[in-house]
Amino acid sequence: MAAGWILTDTLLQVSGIVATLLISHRFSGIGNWSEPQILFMAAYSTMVAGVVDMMFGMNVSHISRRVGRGQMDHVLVQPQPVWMALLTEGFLPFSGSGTFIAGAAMLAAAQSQLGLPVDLRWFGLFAANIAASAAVIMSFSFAWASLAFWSPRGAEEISSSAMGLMRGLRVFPLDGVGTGLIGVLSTAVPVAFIGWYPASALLGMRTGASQWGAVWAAMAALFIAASLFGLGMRKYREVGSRRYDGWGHRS
Amino acid sequence: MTDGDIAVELVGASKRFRQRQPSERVRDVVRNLLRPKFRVVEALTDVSFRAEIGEIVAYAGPNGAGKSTTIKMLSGMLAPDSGTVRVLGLDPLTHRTQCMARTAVVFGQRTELWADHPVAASFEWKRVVWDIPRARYVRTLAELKALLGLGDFWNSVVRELSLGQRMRADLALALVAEPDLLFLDEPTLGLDVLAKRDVLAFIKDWNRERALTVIITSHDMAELEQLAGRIVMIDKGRIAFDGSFDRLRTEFGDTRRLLLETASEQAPALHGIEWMSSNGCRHEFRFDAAQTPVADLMLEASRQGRLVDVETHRASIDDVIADIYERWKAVPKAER
Repeated sequence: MAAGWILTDTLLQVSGIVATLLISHRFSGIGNWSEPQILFMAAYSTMVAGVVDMMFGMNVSHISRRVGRGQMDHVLVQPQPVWMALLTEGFLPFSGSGTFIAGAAMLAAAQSQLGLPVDLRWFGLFAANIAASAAVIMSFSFAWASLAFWSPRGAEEISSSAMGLMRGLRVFPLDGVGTGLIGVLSTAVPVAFIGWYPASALLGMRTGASQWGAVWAAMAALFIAASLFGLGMRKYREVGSRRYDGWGHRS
Repeated sequence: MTDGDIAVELVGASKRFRQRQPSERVRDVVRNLLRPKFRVVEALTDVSFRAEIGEIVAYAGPNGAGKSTTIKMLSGMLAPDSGTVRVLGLDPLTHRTQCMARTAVVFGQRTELWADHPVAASFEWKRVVWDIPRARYVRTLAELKALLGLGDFWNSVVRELSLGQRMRADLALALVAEPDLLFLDEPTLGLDVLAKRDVLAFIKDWNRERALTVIITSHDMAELEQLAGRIVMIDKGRIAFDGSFDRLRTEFGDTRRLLLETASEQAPALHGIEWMSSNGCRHEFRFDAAQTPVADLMLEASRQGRLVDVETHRASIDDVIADIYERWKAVPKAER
């Protein structure tokens, strides 16, 4: 039963990038990106989605549900800081690993075609970018989820919308896009940092400090999200939870 | 009483909430969004009370009186607008993690268990998060499993437990860290008579053996009287009574029932006593024992005819409390 669910979830996650792969196959790439490079970017962003699924399950990535349903009370009765509770209790190493494994398989396929020089430095850059991209997704979800402190009913599902937006846009190379739109996709909706930008850094299209752009973006995103969520928690302690859904928490 | 003996202390704690009051009229749709109307609810007003270490305090009041708000303040979930709250000598808001390491909260309508995992997984999670030494954990868990009968459903998924099983598991989860302070909000909600009796006996044992301080709210007054030596009653956000159950009865009237079986079907006319019903030769009365001595009533009744049988019953604590709630409902807040 659980295995079936993991398989279905993985197929659904991977199917989200099939359209891009088909276009890439039909036109032997997209823009300046070759077909194996597009596959690499798709694999990278799938692995990022896998990290989020694996590390932030139990409605941690969909945190607006917990806020909107008055379930932050369950976090507040634990003898540990809120950030530590949220960082640890969504870890699903088995049931959340399907997407990550699928992404890793795709990455291996892309690597075999690209023949990238994988050494320790490259692997360090890869790990840092994966972590940074996951942090950008989580920050985006938490920043929007902060609205649920003020509007618990209206914003209960806003994290899902934010995550859906990020996942839907993650596999498009943005090279040919106008500067203004790239600006928007690097700031307001920072989807550039969960596929296109880090993939280009790992493929050697960027050099020097710009290879670490996603890490800097993640730090900025974390700061903004932590500030907004902190304000929200203060509000939560002032007004408490006016609605509560008992069975939904952590699931 | 020294500061070191105090487990819980509220001094002049007040809390207000704003509730939206949207209009149902179509023409007010935009106004509801842009300039909604609010009403202010005084959840708690100048609430002060203390609980000593090792004490069991019943915290009672009608629906919406402010009980859960108080528990949430004591648990560090809610900040008071004014006044101070101390738990185990600390401010539960600024020292939340230290307080919660020594405190447990059980809300009858909520669960701390992980719904989609076996019961055992929640206990393992508790051990890690509360940093309970393994030897102590194993010993306490064995005791709790035996006393609360968790063995039957230890490996069952929490979502599939009955309410009684879930409550027992929640109570055990709260106690496995051996807290100094336990907040129980409606802990026996939905339990059958036997399960309720076992849970209450268990809490009492732990209180006696480990000096566990318990603050318990419930609508079941008999349950509270069985467990607690002291009752703090709250109504519309204010403390309305703080004392023993005996003092509560004395202060709010020692109402009793008198059942007389007489030779005739005519109920005796007794002075200062309320006739309630008659069924053949059996007649039921209600009276205040503090105002009308039972001996006087017997004398008066026997003068009016032959008495076949006499029974008196003290009103249940539920009846006493129901009377008090009725009185409070009738009296506007400002006049109390």
